[in-house]
Amino acid sequence: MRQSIRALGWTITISMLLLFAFLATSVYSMVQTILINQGIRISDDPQVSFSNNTLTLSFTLTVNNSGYYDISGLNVTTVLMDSDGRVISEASTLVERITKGSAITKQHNMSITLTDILSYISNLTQDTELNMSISVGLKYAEALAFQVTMMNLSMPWGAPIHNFSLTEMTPRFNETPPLLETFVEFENHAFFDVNGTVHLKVYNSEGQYIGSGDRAINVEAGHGYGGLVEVVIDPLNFTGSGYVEISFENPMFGYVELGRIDYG
Amino acid sequence: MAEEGRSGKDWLMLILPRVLRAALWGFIMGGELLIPLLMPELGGKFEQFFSISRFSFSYLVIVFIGFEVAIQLLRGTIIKYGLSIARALISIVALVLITNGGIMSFTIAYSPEIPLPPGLALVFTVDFRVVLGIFLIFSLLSIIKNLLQAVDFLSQQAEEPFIPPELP
Repeated sequence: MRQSIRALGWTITISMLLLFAFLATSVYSMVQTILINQGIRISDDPQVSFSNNTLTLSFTLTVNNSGYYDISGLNVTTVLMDSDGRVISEASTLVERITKGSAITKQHNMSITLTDILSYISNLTQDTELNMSISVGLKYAEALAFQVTMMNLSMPWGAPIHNFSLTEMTPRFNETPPLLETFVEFENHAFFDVNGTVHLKVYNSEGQYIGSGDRAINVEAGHGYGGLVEVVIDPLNFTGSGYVEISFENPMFGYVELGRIDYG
Repeated sequence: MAEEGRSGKDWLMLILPRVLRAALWGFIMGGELLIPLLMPELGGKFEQFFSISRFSFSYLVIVFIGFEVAIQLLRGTIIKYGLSIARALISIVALVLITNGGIMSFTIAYSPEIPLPPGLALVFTVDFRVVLGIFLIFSLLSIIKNLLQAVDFLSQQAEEPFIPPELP
């Protein structure tokens, strides 16, 4: 019996030593590979492309496994959220295995349709910030699993109809029909062109509807717009002051109420 | 009869090696860990990473040293095996509690020492349940070994009773 106990004792001791040796080498190797040699890299600035109403963010993932053990189940996940933390889009890229001594390069793509973004962003006239989180998970040496999550990365969102304003309103009652020329200004801060129709509904100081006008516009990304919208009005009810209800319509956004602006 | 004839010096010569041995093993089995832990610079950082609500790591090390000293002092008695089993059980429970069952998370936010962009937070999660599981299996085997040793010790005592000379 004593021999059996001794054998069991030695087995436990040797197994413990092997376990600690494995732990020490795997942790050392992982620290060398990931932290010191920076073996896992994700490009800082993603490539942005826009086509067919879909925005694609493309990150380059480079993994160079210079350690003693294989990396398996490498998973990169990016999550785009609005300012209230609601998830707009999520994308994952999985690399099954990177054997020791090998390197891989892979693209991680995140596609977001404009419809998805616009369903979360109600105000098209104000720039805002979207939140992004990037998460990298992996299994090292089949035994140790790690996950690093970078949260609250800010991503600017430029408003397509930024700072919409009516700068000048000139009545032309001697025209036929009588017109109210309204000068409209805004800036397209978005990464896509804005094509659509601006609708103006004009009311007098008593809240009575006095006329409306439209203007088709086409503004390139990053450019400003300034132009006249001719509103056909009823001159008898024009009091010189009141408010204008502004709306914008295009196939991408649908019909959007931009609010009301007082005049006079 | 022999005990009545022993002087204080004889007792000291008998007990001193046991105490010294206990002190040495106490140092090897955890005492050296207390040195960095009690240094405020190193200990504070360590405790920060292993923030345990019910345990303090330093107290845990002290408990283990206490066990080792007691085991060494009570060598040659059945109590040694009981203490060894208790220590293995405590180490199992403590390891599971300290490591949160093998999944630990650390959050790093902006601080003057870590100049991350404002608002950005890094969350590290380590999952070593496989390694912990293997370690727990070895601890259970260690308990079985101590039980078998205790049975062997008792059977030996039944055959030829032996009381260590140092013990009254």
